[in-house]
Amino acid sequence: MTDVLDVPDLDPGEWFGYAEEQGWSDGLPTVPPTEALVDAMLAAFPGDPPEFAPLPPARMIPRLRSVAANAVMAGCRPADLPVVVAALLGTTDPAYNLHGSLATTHPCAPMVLVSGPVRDQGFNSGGNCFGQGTRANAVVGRALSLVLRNVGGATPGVMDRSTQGSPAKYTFCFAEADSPFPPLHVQRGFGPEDSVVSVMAAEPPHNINDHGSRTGEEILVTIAGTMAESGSNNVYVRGPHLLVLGPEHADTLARDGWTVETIRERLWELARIPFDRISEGNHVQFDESGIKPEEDGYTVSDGLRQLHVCVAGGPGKHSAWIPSFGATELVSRVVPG
Amino acid sequence: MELERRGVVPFLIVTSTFLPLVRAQATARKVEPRVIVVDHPVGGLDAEEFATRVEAAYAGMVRELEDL
Amino acid sequence: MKIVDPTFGLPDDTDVTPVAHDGIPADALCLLSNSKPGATELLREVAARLEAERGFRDIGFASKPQAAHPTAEETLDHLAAQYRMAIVAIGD
Repeated sequence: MTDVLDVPDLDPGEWFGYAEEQGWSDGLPTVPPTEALVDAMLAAFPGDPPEFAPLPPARMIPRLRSVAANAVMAGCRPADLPVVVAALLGTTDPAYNLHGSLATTHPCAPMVLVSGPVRDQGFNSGGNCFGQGTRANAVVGRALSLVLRNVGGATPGVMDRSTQGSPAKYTFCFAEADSPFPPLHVQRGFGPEDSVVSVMAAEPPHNINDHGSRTGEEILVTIAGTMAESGSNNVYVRGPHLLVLGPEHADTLARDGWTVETIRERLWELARIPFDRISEGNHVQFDESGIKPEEDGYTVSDGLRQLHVCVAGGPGKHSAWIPSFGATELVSRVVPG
Repeated sequence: MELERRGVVPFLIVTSTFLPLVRAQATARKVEPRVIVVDHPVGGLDAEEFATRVEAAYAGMVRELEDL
Repeated sequence: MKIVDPTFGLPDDTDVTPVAHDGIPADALCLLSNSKPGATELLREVAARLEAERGFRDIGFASKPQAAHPTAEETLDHLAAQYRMAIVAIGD
């Protein structure tokens, strides 16, 4: 069984169309995964090739070479491959629920959060970290999505049944910034010197604009209001969600003595979806799912430990809340190297 | 489909919209489930609409049982 | 030019040991709901008619805790140990 294909010699424009015709493209141009480029990427991979689990829905087991081929197509540099591999290993952890997250009608995408020294390979943890303009952020998230599509068979409209999808399905990768709080991977038991990728089946970031608040407590009131969204999966499927504090909000919270733990506790108290914001049909559905309202409304997920907290972004009074698919977990993996 | 791999004969009730996904998953799992297709969706319907889905599912089930 | 196939993968040949056995009556039937809205009601109405019109008895029932979660392996094994046939609401 060979993994080498002999294709016509094509110029970049022709290759773009060819890859699209073959069903290998996410709609954006790709780089041809020539043997030379793939071999160069593999030569830089540290250690032995990892063992991958079958990728749903097609239940195919990727080889490191096919992962590298998709990384080349996405525009990755050789140094990016270990980050892509760590992210792929995270998504195939059963707790991530890759099959459910790909076949669902929900718009979730594989969020990739980069922590530790590997961030210095050009990952953006600052201004516009969720947006365009940084190669490492753009290509690592894209490579993961291409692997899931090309090897796993998560073809939109057939195996990927998302009702509307989201722009995050093209790529959703960012790095966390240094901050007054412990980095996420350290909160999760890794050492500060470890390079770690954390993945979660997630919605795109929901912005939290708060220019008016002067204290940490006031900022938390605004964050809680954004989290108390009646249409999120975290209301009735529960599961993890992520608060990405902008650095200015983080500094204000730290100045006022807040810690990750007390932020979680206060948001657990404050974030309530008022009873009258939920339709009668949804009350019934929530009840059938075992979700009961508290006295002052429905909670966001089922406990303060479901909320994860990190810091990223540049100057400005914005933070972001990232709800999840619900039936997933935030899974962290050390980057090989 | 996981039941079929365990030796149970499954009859899968699938809406027309999700049929391609189910077919593709069956191919990946190398199983050939008996599929009963009803109109999409099943959720969020009024009583009259829902009754048509039940009728289609029941009729499909009877057909499959007679084919066994 | 020669490229590395970006779709290349090895098929998963993991087998699941069948747990269904000969002691189960041929018409032992259960329902398995994916817990999507309407799915359980649909299955129960089909089951009621099978009981009323086709002589089925003691049709079992199981469901996923929620639509977004996979069906637990234990649930699948439990059903396979008791039933020969299953009506499964799977895609909606």
